[in-house]
Amino acid sequence: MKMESNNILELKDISKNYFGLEALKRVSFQVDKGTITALIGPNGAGKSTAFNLISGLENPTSGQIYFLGKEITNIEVHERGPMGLGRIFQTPKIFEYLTVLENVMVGIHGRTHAGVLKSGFRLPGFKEEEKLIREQAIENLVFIGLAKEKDRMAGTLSFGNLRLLEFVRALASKPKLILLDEPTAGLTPVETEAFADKLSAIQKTGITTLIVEHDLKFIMSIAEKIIVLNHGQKIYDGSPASIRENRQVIEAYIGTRKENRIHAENT
Amino acid sequence: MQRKILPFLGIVLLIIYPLWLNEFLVSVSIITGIYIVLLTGLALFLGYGGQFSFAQAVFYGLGAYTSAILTTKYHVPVIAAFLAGGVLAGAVGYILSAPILRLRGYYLAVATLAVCQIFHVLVVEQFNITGGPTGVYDIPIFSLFGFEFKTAISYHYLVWVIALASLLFAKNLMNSRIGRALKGIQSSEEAAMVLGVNAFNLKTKVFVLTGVTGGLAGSLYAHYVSYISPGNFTLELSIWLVVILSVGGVRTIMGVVLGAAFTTVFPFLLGKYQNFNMLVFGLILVLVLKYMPNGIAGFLEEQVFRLVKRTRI
Repeated sequence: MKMESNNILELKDISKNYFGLEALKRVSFQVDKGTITALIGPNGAGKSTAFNLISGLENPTSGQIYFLGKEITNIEVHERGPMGLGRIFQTPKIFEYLTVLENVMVGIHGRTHAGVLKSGFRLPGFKEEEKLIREQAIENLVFIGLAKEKDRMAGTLSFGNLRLLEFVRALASKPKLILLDEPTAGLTPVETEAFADKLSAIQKTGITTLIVEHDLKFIMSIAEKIIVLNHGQKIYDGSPASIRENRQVIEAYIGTRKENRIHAENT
Repeated sequence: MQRKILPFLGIVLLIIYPLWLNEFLVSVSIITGIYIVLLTGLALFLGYGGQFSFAQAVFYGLGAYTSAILTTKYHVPVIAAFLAGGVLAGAVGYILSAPILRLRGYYLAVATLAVCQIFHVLVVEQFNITGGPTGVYDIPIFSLFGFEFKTAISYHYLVWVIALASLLFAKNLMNSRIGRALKGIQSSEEAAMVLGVNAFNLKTKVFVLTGVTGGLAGSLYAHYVSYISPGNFTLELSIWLVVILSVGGVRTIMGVVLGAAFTTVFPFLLGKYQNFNMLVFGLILVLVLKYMPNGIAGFLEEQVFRLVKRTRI
Protein backbone atom coordinates (compact mmCIF):
# COMPACT_ATOMS: atom_id res chain seq x y z
CA MET A 1 0.00 0.00 0.00
CA LYS A 2 1.17 3.45 -0.83
CA MET A 3 0.55 6.35 1.49
CA GLU A 4 -1.86 9.05 0.40
CA SER A 5 0.41 11.71 -0.96
CA ASN A 6 0.46 14.93 -2.82
CA ASN A 7 1.87 13.53 -6.03
CA ILE A 8 -0.27 12.45 -8.97
CA LEU A 9 2.53 10.76 -10.89
CA GLU A 10 5.67 9.08 -9.67
CA LEU A 11 8.47 7.44 -11.63
CA LYS A 12 10.67 5.14 -9.56
CA ASP A 13 14.07 4.05 -10.87
CA ILE A 14 12.85 3.94 -14.44
CA SER A 15 15.26 2.59 -17.04
CA LYS A 16 14.67 1.98 -20.71
CA ASN A 17 17.08 0.21 -23.02
CA TYR A 18 16.78 -0.03 -26.77
CA PHE A 19 19.04 -2.87 -27.85
CA GLY A 20 21.76 -1.79 -25.49
CA LEU A 21 21.23 1.93 -25.88
CA GLU A 22 20.13 3.36 -22.57
CA ALA A 23 17.51 6.01 -23.26
CA LEU A 24 16.69 6.41 -19.57
CA LYS A 25 18.92 5.48 -16.64
CA ARG A 26 17.28 4.99 -13.25
CA VAL A 27 15.20 8.13 -13.49
CA SER A 28 12.91 9.01 -10.59
CA PHE A 29 10.70 12.03 -10.23
CA GLN A 30 7.31 13.10 -8.98
CA VAL A 31 4.68 15.40 -10.35
CA ASP A 32 2.62 17.20 -7.70
CA LYS A 33 -1.14 17.47 -8.00
CA GLY A 34 -2.45 20.64 -9.59
CA THR A 35 0.91 21.91 -10.81
CA ILE A 36 2.41 22.66 -14.18
CA THR A 37 5.65 20.71 -14.23
CA ALA A 38 8.14 20.91 -17.06
CA LEU A 39 10.39 18.17 -18.38
CA ILE A 40 13.24 19.68 -20.35
CA GLY A 41 16.59 18.68 -21.74
CA PRO A 42 18.60 18.71 -24.94
CA ASN A 43 17.59 16.60 -27.95
CA GLY A 44 17.89 12.91 -27.22
CA ALA A 45 17.76 13.39 -23.46
CA GLY A 46 14.94 10.88 -23.10
CA LYS A 47 11.93 13.16 -22.72
CA SER A 48 9.79 11.53 -25.39
CA THR A 49 10.78 8.10 -24.11
CA ALA A 50 9.61 9.13 -20.65
CA PHE A 51 6.28 10.24 -22.14
CA ASN A 52 5.86 6.98 -24.02
CA LEU A 53 6.48 5.03 -20.82
CA ILE A 54 4.03 7.11 -18.83
CA SER A 55 1.27 6.86 -21.44
CA GLY A 56 2.01 3.16 -21.89
CA LEU A 57 2.99 3.07 -25.57
CA GLU A 58 6.24 1.45 -24.41
CA ASN A 59 7.16 -0.53 -21.33
CA PRO A 60 10.16 0.31 -19.14
CA THR A 61 13.05 -2.13 -18.92
CA SER A 62 12.96 -1.72 -15.15
CA GLY A 63 11.36 0.48 -12.52
CA GLN A 64 7.80 1.38 -11.58
CA ILE A 65 5.34 4.09 -12.52
CA TYR A 66 2.59 5.16 -10.12
CA PHE A 67 -0.42 7.21 -11.11
CA LEU A 68 -2.75 8.48 -8.38
CA GLY A 69 -1.00 6.13 -5.98
CA LYS A 70 -1.67 3.04 -8.12
CA GLU A 71 1.01 1.19 -10.00
CA ILE A 72 0.39 1.45 -13.76
CA THR A 73 3.74 0.16 -15.05
CA ASN A 74 2.20 -2.70 -16.99
CA ILE A 75 -1.34 -1.44 -17.54
CA GLU A 76 -2.47 -1.28 -21.19
CA VAL A 77 -2.44 2.06 -23.00
CA HIS A 78 -6.17 2.22 -23.59
CA GLU A 79 -6.87 1.65 -19.91
CA ARG A 80 -4.74 4.61 -18.82
CA GLY A 81 -6.86 7.18 -20.65
CA PRO A 82 -10.03 6.40 -18.71
CA MET A 83 -7.97 6.44 -15.47
CA GLY A 84 -7.35 10.12 -16.11
CA LEU A 85 -4.17 10.22 -18.14
CA GLY A 86 -4.23 12.38 -21.28
CA ARG A 87 -1.54 13.05 -23.82
CA ILE A 88 -0.77 15.02 -26.94
CA PHE A 89 2.03 14.15 -29.33
CA GLN A 90 5.02 16.07 -30.62
CA THR A 91 3.58 16.08 -34.13
CA PRO A 92 -0.21 16.36 -33.86
CA LYS A 93 -1.85 12.99 -34.47
CA ILE A 94 -5.17 14.15 -35.79
CA PHE A 95 -7.86 11.87 -37.21
CA GLU A 96 -7.96 13.46 -40.64
CA TYR A 97 -10.94 11.47 -41.92
CA LEU A 98 -13.12 12.86 -39.15
CA THR A 99 -14.52 16.35 -38.69
CA VAL A 100 -13.21 18.63 -35.97
CA LEU A 101 -16.22 17.84 -33.81
CA GLU A 102 -15.91 14.08 -34.37
CA ASN A 103 -12.25 14.24 -33.36
CA VAL A 104 -13.24 15.67 -30.00
CA MET A 105 -16.04 13.10 -29.75
CA VAL A 106 -13.41 10.34 -29.96
CA GLY A 107 -11.83 12.04 -26.95
CA ILE A 108 -14.91 11.02 -24.98
CA HIS A 109 -14.63 7.39 -26.16
CA GLY A 110 -13.03 6.13 -22.97
CA ARG A 111 -15.86 7.44 -20.81
CA THR A 112 -18.72 6.02 -22.89
CA HIS A 113 -19.92 2.51 -23.51
CA ALA A 114 -22.20 1.83 -26.52
CA GLY A 115 -20.82 -1.29 -28.23
CA VAL A 116 -21.15 -2.70 -31.75
CA LEU A 117 -24.65 -4.16 -31.26
CA LYS A 118 -26.01 -1.20 -29.33
CA SER A 119 -24.71 1.20 -31.98
CA GLY A 120 -25.61 -0.92 -35.00
CA PHE A 121 -29.17 -1.67 -33.87
CA ARG A 122 -29.65 1.70 -32.17
CA LEU A 123 -30.72 -0.04 -28.96
CA PRO A 124 -32.25 1.99 -26.08
CA GLY A 125 -29.79 4.36 -24.48
CA PHE A 126 -27.79 4.90 -27.63
CA LYS A 127 -29.35 8.22 -28.56
CA GLU A 128 -28.97 9.66 -25.07
CA GLU A 129 -25.30 8.75 -24.92
CA GLU A 130 -24.65 10.05 -28.43
CA LYS A 131 -26.34 13.34 -27.54
CA LEU A 132 -24.25 13.61 -24.39
CA ILE A 133 -21.04 12.95 -26.32
CA ARG A 134 -21.95 15.63 -28.86
CA GLU A 135 -22.84 18.22 -26.23
CA GLN A 136 -19.67 17.68 -24.25
CA ALA A 137 -17.56 17.81 -27.39
CA ILE A 138 -19.13 21.12 -28.41
CA GLU A 139 -18.58 22.52 -24.91
CA ASN A 140 -14.91 21.63 -25.23
CA LEU A 141 -14.68 23.23 -28.67
CA VAL A 142 -16.23 26.42 -27.34
CA PHE A 143 -13.65 26.50 -24.54
CA ILE A 144 -10.74 26.22 -26.96
CA GLY A 145 -12.28 28.55 -29.55
CA LEU A 146 -12.75 26.08 -32.39
CA ALA A 147 -16.55 25.86 -32.27
CA LYS A 148 -16.89 27.65 -35.61
CA GLU A 149 -14.76 25.02 -37.32
CA LYS A 150 -16.66 22.06 -35.91
CA ASP A 151 -17.93 20.66 -39.22
CA ARG A 152 -14.68 21.03 -41.12
CA MET A 153 -12.61 18.01 -41.95
CA ALA A 154 -9.85 17.99 -39.36
CA GLY A 155 -7.11 17.59 -41.97
CA THR A 156 -7.89 21.02 -43.46
CA LEU A 157 -7.13 23.02 -40.30
CA SER A 158 -4.13 25.31 -39.99
CA PHE A 159 -1.16 23.92 -38.04
CA GLY A 160 -1.89 26.06 -35.00
CA ASN A 161 -5.48 24.84 -34.94
CA LEU A 162 -4.37 21.22 -35.33
CA ARG A 163 -2.39 21.61 -32.13
CA LEU A 164 -5.37 23.15 -30.38
CA LEU A 165 -7.64 20.39 -31.66
CA GLU A 166 -5.35 17.67 -30.37
CA PHE A 167 -5.15 19.47 -27.04
CA VAL A 168 -8.91 19.85 -26.70
CA ARG A 169 -9.45 16.25 -27.83
CA ALA A 170 -7.26 15.17 -24.92
CA LEU A 171 -9.13 17.52 -22.57
CA ALA A 172 -12.44 15.97 -23.64
CA SER A 173 -11.29 12.72 -22.07
CA LYS A 174 -11.38 14.58 -18.72
CA PRO A 175 -7.79 13.88 -17.73
CA LYS A 176 -6.47 14.46 -14.23
CA LEU A 177 -2.97 14.64 -15.65
CA ILE A 178 -2.21 15.77 -19.18
CA LEU A 179 1.13 15.17 -20.90
CA LEU A 180 2.01 17.82 -23.47
CA ASP A 181 4.86 17.07 -25.87
CA GLU A 182 6.16 20.37 -27.24
CA PRO A 183 2.73 21.96 -27.55
CA THR A 184 4.02 25.32 -28.75
CA ALA A 185 6.40 24.04 -31.44
CA GLY A 186 5.33 25.61 -34.71
CA LEU A 187 2.99 28.10 -33.08
CA THR A 188 3.29 31.86 -33.65
CA PRO A 189 4.14 34.02 -30.60
CA VAL A 190 0.51 35.15 -30.44
CA GLU A 191 -0.74 31.57 -30.55
CA THR A 192 1.79 30.57 -27.89
CA GLU A 193 0.53 33.30 -25.59
CA ALA A 194 -3.07 32.24 -26.13
CA PHE A 195 -2.06 28.67 -25.42
CA ALA A 196 -0.42 29.69 -22.13
CA ASP A 197 -3.72 31.29 -21.10
CA LYS A 198 -5.58 28.06 -21.83
CA LEU A 199 -3.04 26.16 -19.75
CA SER A 200 -3.59 28.35 -16.72
CA ALA A 201 -7.33 28.07 -17.27
CA ILE A 202 -7.25 24.28 -17.13
CA GLN A 203 -4.90 24.41 -14.16
CA LYS A 204 -7.62 26.31 -12.28
CA THR A 205 -9.99 23.41 -12.90
CA GLY A 206 -7.54 21.13 -11.10
CA ILE A 207 -5.83 19.47 -14.04
CA THR A 208 -2.14 18.72 -13.58
CA THR A 209 0.17 19.31 -16.53
CA LEU A 210 3.47 17.70 -17.38
CA ILE A 211 5.02 19.47 -20.31
CA VAL A 212 8.01 18.85 -22.55
CA GLU A 213 9.11 22.05 -24.20
CA HIS A 214 12.05 23.61 -26.01
CA ASP A 215 10.87 27.19 -25.59
CA LEU A 216 12.63 28.00 -22.30
CA LYS A 217 11.14 31.48 -22.00
CA PHE A 218 7.68 29.96 -22.18
CA ILE A 219 8.59 27.26 -19.66
CA MET A 220 10.08 29.71 -17.15
CA SER A 221 6.91 31.77 -17.28
CA ILE A 222 4.45 28.94 -16.58
CA ALA A 223 6.16 26.02 -14.83
CA GLU A 224 6.27 25.69 -11.07
CA LYS A 225 8.77 22.88 -11.13
CA ILE A 226 11.34 21.88 -13.70
CA ILE A 227 12.94 18.51 -14.21
CA VAL A 228 16.00 18.41 -16.47
CA LEU A 229 17.12 15.26 -18.26
CA ASN A 230 20.43 14.86 -20.01
CA HIS A 231 21.66 11.68 -21.69
CA GLY A 232 18.89 9.72 -20.03
CA GLN A 233 19.66 10.88 -16.51
CA LYS A 234 17.99 13.39 -14.26
CA ILE A 235 20.33 16.27 -13.55
CA TYR A 236 17.98 18.78 -11.99
CA ASP A 237 14.65 18.73 -10.16
CA GLY A 238 13.50 21.97 -8.61
CA SER A 239 12.16 25.49 -9.01
CA PRO A 240 12.59 27.56 -12.16
CA ALA A 241 14.23 30.29 -10.04
CA SER A 242 17.25 28.31 -8.95
CA ILE A 243 17.80 26.52 -12.25
CA ARG A 244 19.87 29.40 -13.59
CA GLU A 245 22.50 28.80 -10.92
CA ASN A 246 22.77 25.07 -11.54
CA ARG A 247 26.08 24.41 -13.28
CA GLN A 248 25.17 20.97 -14.57
CA VAL A 249 22.11 22.32 -16.31
CA ILE A 250 23.98 25.22 -17.79
CA GLU A 251 26.67 22.92 -19.16
CA ALA A 252 24.14 20.50 -20.59
CA TYR A 253 22.07 23.22 -22.08
CA ILE A 254 24.47 25.88 -23.28
CA GLY A 255 26.37 23.19 -25.11
CA THR A 256 23.42 22.48 -27.31
CA ARG A 257 21.72 25.81 -27.29
CA LYS A 258 23.00 26.73 -30.72
CA GLU A 259 21.76 23.43 -32.02
CA ASN A 260 18.39 24.15 -30.48
CA ARG A 261 18.24 27.52 -32.10
CA ILE A 262 18.98 25.99 -35.48
CA HIS A 263 16.33 23.38 -34.78
CA ALA A 264 13.83 26.11 -33.89
CA GLU A 265 14.62 28.07 -37.01
CA ASN A 266 14.15 25.02 -39.18
CA THR A 267 10.74 24.17 -37.81
CA MET B 1 -39.17 16.19 -44.17
CA GLN B 2 -37.14 15.68 -47.34
CA ARG B 3 -34.83 13.35 -45.49
CA LYS B 4 -37.72 11.05 -44.65
CA ILE B 5 -39.27 11.06 -48.11
CA LEU B 6 -36.15 9.98 -49.97
CA PRO B 7 -35.56 6.66 -48.20
CA PHE B 8 -39.29 5.98 -48.40
CA LEU B 9 -39.27 6.53 -52.17
CA GLY B 10 -36.20 4.35 -52.44
CA ILE B 11 -37.93 1.48 -50.67
CA VAL B 12 -41.06 1.84 -52.78
CA LEU B 13 -38.87 1.76 -55.89
CA LEU B 14 -37.10 -1.35 -54.62
CA ILE B 15 -40.44 -3.06 -54.14
CA ILE B 16 -41.84 -2.11 -57.53
CA TYR B 17 -38.92 -2.30 -59.93
CA PRO B 18 -38.31 -6.07 -59.95
CA LEU B 19 -41.85 -6.53 -61.27
CA TRP B 20 -40.79 -4.90 -64.53
CA LEU B 21 -37.61 -6.88 -64.92
CA ASN B 22 -37.27 -10.06 -66.88
CA GLU B 23 -35.97 -13.15 -65.11
CA PHE B 24 -32.39 -12.52 -66.10
CA LEU B 25 -32.40 -9.00 -64.70
CA VAL B 26 -33.98 -10.19 -61.47
CA SER B 27 -31.11 -12.63 -61.08
CA VAL B 28 -28.63 -9.81 -61.66
CA SER B 29 -30.39 -7.84 -58.95
CA ILE B 30 -30.33 -10.81 -56.56
CA ILE B 31 -26.60 -11.32 -57.00
CA THR B 32 -26.10 -7.59 -56.47
CA GLY B 33 -27.99 -7.83 -53.18
CA ILE B 34 -25.87 -10.79 -52.07
CA TYR B 35 -22.72 -8.85 -52.94
CA ILE B 36 -23.95 -5.94 -50.83
CA VAL B 37 -24.26 -8.23 -47.79
CA LEU B 38 -20.84 -9.67 -48.58
CA LEU B 39 -19.25 -6.23 -48.83
CA THR B 40 -20.76 -4.34 -45.86
CA GLY B 41 -18.51 -5.76 -43.17
CA LEU B 42 -15.48 -5.47 -45.40
CA ALA B 43 -16.33 -1.83 -46.09
CA LEU B 44 -16.21 -1.10 -42.37
CA PHE B 45 -12.97 -3.00 -41.90
CA LEU B 46 -11.27 -1.54 -44.95
CA GLY B 47 -12.86 1.86 -45.44
CA TYR B 48 -13.29 2.80 -41.81
CA GLY B 49 -10.59 0.85 -40.07
CA GLY B 50 -8.08 1.07 -42.92
CA GLN B 51 -7.28 -2.63 -42.47
CA PHE B 52 -6.76 -4.85 -45.49
CA SER B 53 -8.34 -8.27 -45.64
CA PHE B 54 -8.19 -10.76 -48.45
CA ALA B 55 -10.08 -13.30 -46.38
CA GLN B 56 -13.59 -12.31 -47.40
CA ALA B 57 -13.92 -15.25 -49.80
CA VAL B 58 -13.16 -17.53 -46.83
CA PHE B 59 -16.14 -16.24 -44.84
CA TYR B 60 -18.30 -16.34 -47.95
CA GLY B 61 -17.26 -19.94 -48.52
CA LEU B 62 -17.68 -20.91 -44.87
CA GLY B 63 -21.24 -19.60 -44.84
CA ALA B 64 -22.06 -21.27 -48.14
CA TYR B 65 -20.59 -24.66 -47.21
CA THR B 66 -22.01 -24.67 -43.67
CA SER B 67 -25.47 -23.90 -44.93
CA ALA B 68 -25.20 -26.31 -47.85
CA ILE B 69 -23.87 -29.24 -45.81
CA LEU B 70 -26.31 -28.74 -42.94
CA THR B 71 -29.32 -28.69 -45.26
CA THR B 72 -28.28 -31.47 -47.66
CA LYS B 73 -26.66 -33.97 -45.26
CA TYR B 74 -28.43 -33.25 -41.98
CA HIS B 75 -31.70 -31.78 -43.26
CA VAL B 76 -31.51 -28.83 -40.93
CA PRO B 77 -34.17 -26.14 -41.67
CA VAL B 78 -32.74 -23.58 -44.08
CA ILE B 79 -33.20 -20.63 -41.76
CA ALA B 80 -31.22 -22.39 -39.00
CA ALA B 81 -28.51 -23.34 -41.48
CA PHE B 82 -28.43 -19.76 -42.74
CA LEU B 83 -27.87 -18.42 -39.22
CA ALA B 84 -25.35 -21.16 -38.48
CA GLY B 85 -23.37 -20.08 -41.55
CA GLY B 86 -23.14 -16.55 -40.20
CA VAL B 87 -22.26 -17.67 -36.69
CA LEU B 88 -19.58 -20.13 -37.83
CA ALA B 89 -17.94 -17.60 -40.15
CA GLY B 90 -17.99 -15.05 -37.33
CA ALA B 91 -16.45 -17.56 -34.93
CA VAL B 92 -13.68 -18.36 -37.40
CA GLY B 93 -13.11 -14.63 -37.78
CA TYR B 94 -12.75 -14.40 -34.01
CA ILE B 95 -10.27 -17.26 -33.82
CA LEU B 96 -8.23 -15.85 -36.71
CA SER B 97 -8.12 -12.37 -35.22
CA ALA B 98 -5.92 -13.36 -32.28
CA PRO B 99 -2.85 -14.13 -34.40
CA ILE B 100 -3.41 -11.98 -37.50
CA LEU B 101 -4.90 -8.69 -36.26
CA ARG B 102 -1.71 -7.91 -34.37
CA LEU B 103 -0.15 -7.38 -37.78
CA ARG B 104 -0.45 -4.09 -39.58
CA GLY B 105 -0.62 -2.91 -43.17
CA TYR B 106 0.95 -5.20 -45.74
CA TYR B 107 1.68 -7.87 -43.16
CA LEU B 108 -1.98 -8.15 -42.31
CA ALA B 109 -2.87 -8.29 -46.00
CA VAL B 110 -0.39 -11.10 -46.62
CA ALA B 111 -1.63 -13.05 -43.58
CA THR B 112 -5.25 -12.87 -44.77
CA LEU B 113 -4.08 -13.91 -48.22
CA ALA B 114 -2.52 -17.00 -46.67
CA VAL B 115 -5.74 -17.76 -44.80
CA CYS B 116 -7.57 -17.65 -48.11
CA GLN B 117 -5.20 -20.14 -49.72
CA ILE B 118 -5.35 -22.49 -46.73
CA PHE B 119 -9.13 -22.45 -46.85
CA HIS B 120 -9.11 -23.31 -50.52
CA VAL B 121 -6.78 -26.26 -49.98
CA LEU B 122 -8.87 -27.51 -47.05
CA VAL B 123 -12.09 -27.36 -49.04
CA VAL B 124 -10.57 -29.26 -51.93
CA GLU B 125 -8.85 -31.87 -49.75
CA GLN B 126 -11.55 -32.60 -47.17
CA PHE B 127 -13.52 -34.62 -49.64
CA ASN B 128 -15.76 -36.33 -47.08
CA ILE B 129 -17.11 -33.10 -45.70
CA THR B 130 -17.06 -30.72 -48.64
CA GLY B 131 -17.33 -33.00 -51.61
CA GLY B 132 -13.87 -31.92 -52.73
CA PRO B 133 -13.55 -30.36 -56.19
CA THR B 134 -17.06 -31.54 -57.08
CA GLY B 135 -18.62 -29.41 -54.36
CA VAL B 136 -22.12 -29.70 -52.91
CA TYR B 137 -25.19 -29.90 -55.12
CA ASP B 138 -28.97 -30.14 -54.72
CA ILE B 139 -28.92 -27.44 -52.06
CA PRO B 140 -32.59 -26.75 -51.20
CA ILE B 141 -34.13 -23.39 -51.95
CA PHE B 142 -34.59 -20.94 -49.09
CA SER B 143 -37.65 -21.42 -46.95
CA LEU B 144 -38.92 -19.58 -43.94
CA PHE B 145 -41.67 -20.89 -41.63
CA GLY B 146 -43.00 -23.13 -44.37
CA PHE B 147 -42.88 -20.49 -47.08
CA GLU B 148 -40.62 -21.49 -49.94
CA PHE B 149 -38.92 -18.79 -51.96
CA LYS B 150 -39.54 -20.62 -55.20
CA THR B 151 -39.85 -17.66 -57.54
CA ALA B 152 -36.94 -15.42 -58.33
CA ILE B 153 -38.99 -12.36 -57.38
CA SER B 154 -39.75 -13.66 -53.89
CA TYR B 155 -36.09 -14.49 -53.30
CA HIS B 156 -35.21 -11.09 -54.65
CA TYR B 157 -37.25 -9.45 -51.88
CA LEU B 158 -35.70 -11.65 -49.19
CA VAL B 159 -32.16 -10.90 -50.33
CA TRP B 160 -32.79 -7.18 -50.55
CA VAL B 161 -34.41 -7.01 -47.12
CA ILE B 162 -31.25 -8.59 -45.69
CA ALA B 163 -29.05 -6.36 -47.86
CA LEU B 164 -30.82 -3.18 -46.68
CA ALA B 165 -30.72 -4.36 -43.08
CA SER B 166 -26.98 -4.90 -43.26
CA LEU B 167 -26.47 -1.53 -44.93
CA LEU B 168 -28.53 0.13 -42.22
CA PHE B 169 -26.55 -1.67 -39.53
CA ALA B 170 -23.28 -0.54 -41.12
CA LYS B 171 -24.53 3.01 -41.48
CA ASN B 172 -25.60 3.13 -37.84
CA LEU B 173 -22.26 1.77 -36.80
CA MET B 174 -20.41 4.33 -38.89
CA ASN B 175 -22.27 7.14 -37.15
CA SER B 176 -21.44 6.06 -33.63
CA ARG B 177 -18.55 6.06 -31.23
CA ILE B 178 -17.49 2.72 -32.74
CA GLY B 179 -17.29 4.14 -36.28
CA ARG B 180 -15.46 7.23 -35.14
CA ALA B 181 -12.94 5.23 -33.12
CA LEU B 182 -12.41 2.98 -36.14
CA LYS B 183 -11.68 5.95 -38.37
CA GLY B 184 -9.37 7.23 -35.64
CA ILE B 185 -7.43 3.96 -35.72
CA GLN B 186 -6.98 4.38 -39.46
CA SER B 187 -5.18 7.70 -38.93
CA SER B 188 -3.28 6.90 -35.76
CA GLU B 189 -3.68 3.80 -33.70
CA GLU B 190 -1.51 5.29 -30.96
CA ALA B 191 -3.53 8.47 -30.63
CA ALA B 192 -6.76 6.48 -30.53
CA MET B 193 -5.40 4.14 -27.84
CA VAL B 194 -4.24 7.03 -25.69
CA LEU B 195 -7.86 8.27 -25.79
CA GLY B 196 -9.05 4.95 -24.42
CA VAL B 197 -9.81 3.08 -27.65
CA ASN B 198 -8.96 -0.60 -27.31
CA ALA B 199 -7.71 -0.86 -30.88
CA PHE B 200 -7.12 -4.60 -30.99
CA ASN B 201 -10.48 -5.37 -29.45
CA LEU B 202 -12.27 -3.03 -31.85
CA LYS B 203 -10.54 -4.46 -34.90
CA THR B 204 -11.46 -7.95 -33.69
CA LYS B 205 -15.13 -7.01 -33.39
CA VAL B 206 -15.24 -5.53 -36.87
CA PHE B 207 -13.37 -8.50 -38.30
CA VAL B 208 -15.94 -10.80 -36.71
CA LEU B 209 -18.61 -8.63 -38.31
CA THR B 210 -17.01 -9.09 -41.73
CA GLY B 211 -17.12 -12.82 -40.96
CA VAL B 212 -20.81 -12.82 -40.04
CA THR B 213 -21.94 -10.75 -43.04
CA GLY B 214 -19.69 -12.79 -45.34
CA GLY B 215 -21.12 -16.02 -43.96
CA LEU B 216 -24.73 -14.89 -44.34
CA ALA B 217 -24.02 -13.78 -47.91
CA GLY B 218 -22.47 -17.18 -48.64
CA SER B 219 -25.54 -18.97 -47.38
CA LEU B 220 -27.84 -16.75 -49.45
CA TYR B 221 -25.73 -17.55 -52.48
CA ALA B 222 -25.70 -21.31 -51.88
CA HIS B 223 -29.48 -21.50 -51.54
CA TYR B 224 -29.90 -19.41 -54.66
CA VAL B 225 -27.63 -21.28 -57.07
CA SER B 226 -28.19 -24.69 -55.39
CA TYR B 227 -24.69 -25.83 -56.34
CA ILE B 228 -21.36 -24.70 -54.89
CA SER B 229 -17.77 -25.75 -55.49
CA PRO B 230 -14.34 -24.54 -54.33
CA GLY B 231 -14.07 -22.43 -57.49
CA ASN B 232 -16.68 -20.03 -56.10
CA PHE B 233 -14.53 -19.01 -53.13
CA THR B 234 -11.06 -18.34 -54.39
CA LEU B 235 -8.40 -15.79 -53.58
CA GLU B 236 -9.31 -14.16 -56.85
CA LEU B 237 -12.73 -13.35 -55.42
CA SER B 238 -11.19 -11.89 -52.27
CA ILE B 239 -8.99 -9.59 -54.30
CA TRP B 240 -11.87 -8.73 -56.60
CA LEU B 241 -13.98 -7.65 -53.61
CA VAL B 242 -11.32 -5.26 -52.37
CA VAL B 243 -10.94 -3.89 -55.89
CA ILE B 244 -14.63 -3.25 -56.47
CA LEU B 245 -14.93 -1.63 -53.05
CA SER B 246 -12.16 0.74 -54.08
CA VAL B 247 -13.97 1.48 -57.33
CA GLY B 248 -17.28 2.04 -55.56
CA GLY B 249 -15.73 4.04 -52.75
CA VAL B 250 -14.75 2.53 -49.43
CA ARG B 251 -15.75 5.32 -47.11
CA THR B 252 -19.46 5.47 -47.79
CA ILE B 253 -22.45 3.18 -47.77
CA MET B 254 -23.17 4.26 -51.34
CA GLY B 255 -19.76 2.89 -52.30
CA VAL B 256 -20.79 -0.59 -51.19
CA VAL B 257 -23.94 -0.44 -53.33
CA LEU B 258 -22.09 0.96 -56.34
CA GLY B 259 -19.29 -1.57 -55.98
CA ALA B 260 -21.75 -4.46 -55.78
CA ALA B 261 -23.81 -3.15 -58.69
CA PHE B 262 -20.70 -2.54 -60.73
CA THR B 263 -19.50 -6.10 -60.47
CA THR B 264 -22.81 -7.60 -61.58
CA VAL B 265 -24.19 -5.02 -63.99
CA PHE B 266 -20.98 -4.08 -65.73
CA PRO B 267 -20.27 -7.36 -67.63
CA PHE B 268 -23.89 -7.36 -68.70
CA LEU B 269 -23.63 -3.80 -70.05
CA LEU B 270 -20.85 -4.86 -72.38
CA GLY B 271 -23.29 -7.16 -74.15
CA LYS B 272 -21.62 -9.10 -76.92
CA TYR B 273 -18.22 -7.58 -76.07
CA GLN B 274 -18.12 -9.46 -72.78
CA ASN B 275 -14.82 -11.04 -73.76
CA PHE B 276 -13.22 -7.66 -73.23
CA ASN B 277 -14.62 -7.55 -69.72
CA MET B 278 -11.32 -7.54 -67.84
CA LEU B 279 -9.65 -5.21 -70.31
CA VAL B 280 -12.32 -2.54 -70.00
CA PHE B 281 -12.55 -3.05 -66.26
CA GLY B 282 -8.80 -2.62 -65.87
CA LEU B 283 -9.01 0.66 -67.74
CA ILE B 284 -11.87 1.86 -65.55
CA LEU B 285 -9.98 0.82 -62.43
CA VAL B 286 -6.92 2.83 -63.44
CA LEU B 287 -9.03 5.87 -64.27
CA VAL B 288 -11.00 5.68 -61.02
CA LEU B 289 -7.91 5.27 -58.88
CA LYS B 290 -6.23 8.17 -60.65
CA TYR B 291 -9.08 10.66 -60.80
CA MET B 292 -11.44 9.53 -58.07
CA PRO B 293 -9.32 8.47 -55.09
CA ASN B 294 -12.47 8.16 -52.99
CA GLY B 295 -14.17 5.92 -55.53
CA ILE B 296 -17.21 6.66 -57.64
CA ALA B 297 -19.35 7.29 -54.56
CA GLY B 298 -16.81 9.72 -53.15
CA PHE B 299 -16.59 11.48 -56.49
CA LEU B 300 -20.37 11.85 -56.79
CA GLU B 301 -20.56 13.13 -53.24
CA GLU B 302 -17.97 15.80 -53.98
CA GLN B 303 -19.88 16.89 -57.11
CA VAL B 304 -23.18 17.13 -55.25
CA PHE B 305 -21.47 19.02 -52.44
CA ARG B 306 -19.97 21.43 -54.95
CA LEU B 307 -23.31 21.92 -56.66
CA VAL B 308 -25.11 22.59 -53.38
CA LYS B 309 -22.42 25.06 -52.38
CA ARG B 310 -22.70 26.90 -55.69
CA THR B 311 -26.48 27.17 -55.61
CA ARG B 312 -26.34 28.53 -52.06
CA ILE B 313 -24.05 31.38 -53.09
